[in-house]
Amino acid sequence: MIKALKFHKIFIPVITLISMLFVSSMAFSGLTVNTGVITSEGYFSGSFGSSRNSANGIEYISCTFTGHDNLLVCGATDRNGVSKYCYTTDPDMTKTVSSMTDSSLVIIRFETTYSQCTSIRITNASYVEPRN
Amino acid sequence: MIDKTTKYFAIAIALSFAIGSYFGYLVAYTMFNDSNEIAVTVQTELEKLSSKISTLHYSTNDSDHSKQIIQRQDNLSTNDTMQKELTEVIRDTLKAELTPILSGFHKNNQRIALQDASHSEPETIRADIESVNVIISSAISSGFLDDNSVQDFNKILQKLPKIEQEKAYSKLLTAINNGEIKLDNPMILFH
Repeated sequence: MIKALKFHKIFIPVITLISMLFVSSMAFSGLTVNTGVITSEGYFSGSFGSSRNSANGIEYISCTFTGHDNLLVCGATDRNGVSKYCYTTDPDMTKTVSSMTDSSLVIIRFETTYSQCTSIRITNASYVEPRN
Repeated sequence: MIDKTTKYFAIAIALSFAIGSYFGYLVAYTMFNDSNEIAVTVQTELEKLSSKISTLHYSTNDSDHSKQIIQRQDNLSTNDTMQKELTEVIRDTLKAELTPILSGFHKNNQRIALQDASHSEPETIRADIESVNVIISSAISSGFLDDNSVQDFNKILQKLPKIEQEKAYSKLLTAINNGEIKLDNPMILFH
């Protein structure tokens, strides 16, 4: 009986402390959205963080800018291995990539006949999963 | 009752009247025919005269027409002079306006020509374009683009003019987007 009382005296505060720590950590984490790579006809999107952190070892998203030729090529492969690419020499779109960070969410649309990018949208937001 | 003298007298008067009328008719007929002939003659002469007058009229008109032609030629000469002056004004204005623009175009063309020349000679360019097309076609045939081919593709592309680079990228990317080509290592493609 005395042993049981001693156990409760130690166990209950420890459990309470652990619970408080967990709850407080939840309160400070904020909204997080998994933004893995998505591909479809004339479209691909994804964040560098989510695709980098994914466990499948397949998906990725990238943009490569060649300054000499003012050529930007972006591409992505989703978890199923479907790849989509587009290129552009449009100065406004090539300028956009300068705002990319490790935590950027990239949304790109392209026309399917010549694979030319038609819009590049960069979102830098707290809810975008950063690279680990 | 009428006596015989009166009767003969009346018959004589009637006969005289009839004969006189006949002669009158003959005279009148003759006169009419003569006047008709004269009228015909006069008409013929009048027509001849009219023809001469017409000829004379036309020749007068030709003269007027010639004058008009000369006047028009003068006017045209004046117009030509005005047109020449106007052309010169337009030419000078256009020259002044377009010279800086054309100069800009010329410099730009020179820059592009130099840029293209710095890449390759036309013969080499054709050969490089052919090589790129072969890489893409082979990849489409096999459904696969290996690392070595990607590296070759990138090397050749560096030597091509910008417009040919874009065409090559367009072909390759469209084939990948359509699922015709799978990449061995996607990360190597543009690095």
